[in-house]
Amino acid sequence: MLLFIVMTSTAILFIPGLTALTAKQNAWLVSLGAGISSFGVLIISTKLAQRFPGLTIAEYLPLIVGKIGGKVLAVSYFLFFTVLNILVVRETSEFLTVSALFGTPGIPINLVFVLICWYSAQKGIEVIVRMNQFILPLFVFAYLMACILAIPKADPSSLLPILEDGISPVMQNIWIPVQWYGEIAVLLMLIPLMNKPQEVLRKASYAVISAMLLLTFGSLTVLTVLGADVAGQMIFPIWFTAKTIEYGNYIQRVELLALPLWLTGIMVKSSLLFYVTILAARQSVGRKHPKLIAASVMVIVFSGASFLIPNTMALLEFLTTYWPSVSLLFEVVLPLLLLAITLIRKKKGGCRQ
Amino acid sequence: MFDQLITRIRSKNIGKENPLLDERSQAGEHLSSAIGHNRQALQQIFEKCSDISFREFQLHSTKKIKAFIVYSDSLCKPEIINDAILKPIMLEVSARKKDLQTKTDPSMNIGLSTDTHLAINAGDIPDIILQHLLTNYKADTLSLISEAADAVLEDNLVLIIDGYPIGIKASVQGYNIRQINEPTTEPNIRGPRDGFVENIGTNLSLLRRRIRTSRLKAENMTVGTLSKTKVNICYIQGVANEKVVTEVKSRIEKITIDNVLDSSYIEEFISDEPISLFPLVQYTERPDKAAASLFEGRIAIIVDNSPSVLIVPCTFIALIQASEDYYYSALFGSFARIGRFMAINIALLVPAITVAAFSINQALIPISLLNTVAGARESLPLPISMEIFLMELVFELLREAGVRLPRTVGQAVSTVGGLVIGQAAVDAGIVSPTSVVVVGLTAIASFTFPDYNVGTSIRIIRFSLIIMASVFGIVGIIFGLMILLTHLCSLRSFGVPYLSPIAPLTPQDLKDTVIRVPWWAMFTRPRFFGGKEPLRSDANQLKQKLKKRRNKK
Repeated sequence: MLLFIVMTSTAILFIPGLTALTAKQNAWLVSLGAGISSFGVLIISTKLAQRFPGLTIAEYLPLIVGKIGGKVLAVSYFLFFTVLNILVVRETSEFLTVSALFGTPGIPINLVFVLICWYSAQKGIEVIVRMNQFILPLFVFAYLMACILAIPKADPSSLLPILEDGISPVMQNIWIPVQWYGEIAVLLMLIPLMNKPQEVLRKASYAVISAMLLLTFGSLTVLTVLGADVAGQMIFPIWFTAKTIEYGNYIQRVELLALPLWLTGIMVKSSLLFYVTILAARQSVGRKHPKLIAASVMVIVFSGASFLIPNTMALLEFLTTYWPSVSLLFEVVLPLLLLAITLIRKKKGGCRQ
Repeated sequence: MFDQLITRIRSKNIGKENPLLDERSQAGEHLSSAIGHNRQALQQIFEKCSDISFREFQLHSTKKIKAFIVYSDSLCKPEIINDAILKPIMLEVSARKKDLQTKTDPSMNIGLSTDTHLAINAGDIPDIILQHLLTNYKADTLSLISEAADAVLEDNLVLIIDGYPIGIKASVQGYNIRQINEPTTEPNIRGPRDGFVENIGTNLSLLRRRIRTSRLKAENMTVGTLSKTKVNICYIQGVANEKVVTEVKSRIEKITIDNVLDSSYIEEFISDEPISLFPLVQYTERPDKAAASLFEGRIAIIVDNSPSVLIVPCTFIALIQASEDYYYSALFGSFARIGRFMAINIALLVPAITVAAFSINQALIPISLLNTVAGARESLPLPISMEIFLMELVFELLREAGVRLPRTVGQAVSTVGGLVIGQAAVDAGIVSPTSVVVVGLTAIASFTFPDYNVGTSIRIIRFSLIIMASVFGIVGIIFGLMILLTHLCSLRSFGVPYLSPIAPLTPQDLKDTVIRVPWWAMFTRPRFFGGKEPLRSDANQLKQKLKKRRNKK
């Protein structure tokens, strides 16, 4: 359930627009394909975690690649999670300045947002999970409501022609949404905290499947309602899709009612990322000053979100060109390599478990 | 930070503290067989206590055995002392003693002496009194001076006879107790009307009348070094979680305070979080509610001199459940529940949303309404956020005044408050009618909760939400609610997560949250309280009911 919200909350906002830009009317196929490929991430991370029961990735990295290399990799994972968190915060404030808070500078939003998420992260994983349980039904409800209410405006013909240029543009674009699905890699840190680590694979695959279906559905709605060209030019097409909803004078302004629920979803996600980042920092950098580390993580994320990226276009460029390869490296390539190393070692009988 | 402050203040004061007062300086001393000594000791203890009376008399007309009784005038009923204690003792001891001495032979004596724990041969005067004469249901012996003193203070009469190092106590309780009547804070339309009173015995009887099983346990404890307040911990064995019971006991044992005037003292001591916006211990004045909680596997704490019985563990949902929900039909009960949940949202959010909608997110208001409202707001001096904030403050003042004032004046206050401040302020162009409507709505909504505490905590949160809304609009409200949700999720009451059964989710227990299913379908107790016997009634009942319905079709 938690993974579900981790994947969907920000992906909902960005995927339709970013994929429509390049894949045009086949963008929904991209979300579908990315969902399937994210199973790879899931399987890799669970297999890896099963080799080292009770340890997070920051803890078992030194076991695999030796002390110094492991430390370096663990720190880089910590940086990866930090950047991921920065991106989430930044995405949110961008979304808010576009949607509900016109003209409000991003910095105060970032500050309050970061403070709140940091506060919930400090309360521990259990609290975050419970918050998630509380919010998830509302979140899904708001999302589905926005999509379903928009259906009468939908025009299926805008989906045609399917696969105009063959399958290659779809395949090329899959790696953009994969980064959101790939956020499932937080499992690398979380599996040891779970009650029944054996069931992770089964439960997480439910999450992946449902997230995949929901996102595909969302992309479909956006594409049919707005059309691929318009959707591609917009930053947050789902928001504008919700804006088009109007039934007489009764049901209108759905987007402002759905916004709170989306926002809560994102906040849970960010809290979880904060938790993971702080955990990774403690396990990789040091355990001596937990409060200091937590506070500095907060400061880093806040200043990163506020000052690293100058504007929305830069954010989008970063998200489409640089970040996918970086996240693929951390979410797929590195875990795969680690898994390979452990497997080979085990065959040789030199595993140090 | 608050915690740190408190600990700092405490640590500063620790050095200066005097040891807690304790009057039991003669704690270990036994009663002696010399009556003069005993009397002196007791008189010394009760020096300058004008309500403690001593009365000396002679038991045996011929042998002239001296004896005296000690009792408290203020706690005793004179008729009991006269008719049921002094009369039989003074008139019949001599006769009985002769009887016994002539009739019983030595062998019987041995048998008798092993029966009683007095270890003095039968035929003793205290024994005779206790076994045959004292027509009092709660008589017992005691051997320590401190015991005697305590007994006198606990509504007892103590009889001490010359030549015997023991005393006899008998309950002569006779002070006035408030009549059992309908609890004023939790009235209802259907269902039992009796309410708890200030006497612990009466309260326990109200519970016992509803739960006539030996498994209803009521463990005695005493809290308060000076007030010596009696505390009863009631639970149904097997239904309640044993771990929680022991936890409650250990937390109450740890309390060191000189007095306990109300159960709220205990509440603050045993609450999980030192400072929390929400009540982590529930209280009720309704015996039926307390009994229902016991059947759910919770624990009731009855405190003497307090009509509010504490119930732990407490969940947020439990604070929303009114006992009446269960007495109406399930349909209407659920309807009332849903209404109450909406009331929470209204009380919490409506002022904040109004502020957000009027100041930042105008998009929320339909065009037609926006026109009229904007027109009306043109000539007003204050921004909407200030306006609503001030009106809420005024309402808080009125509410506080309404509670404090005598009933006759209270009418006047509500008239002045409602009419003058409401209508006149609008007419004078100080506030807009919208904000009066909003404040009135939230005021009504905040009084719909069965638990008064929830209303107060929601009122506090409301103010901070208004501030958040005036800064960030709708987003600010969400920020505020997220903090609130984090707080709620992190709360635990005696190990039970505060938001159960919603988060963590236990789908089976949702049957008694937003809706209330009929009793035939409620065949399990709430799981999150952790009792061992989850089954409430036969699960087959449900199947049979459903089968019947199917057959009808």
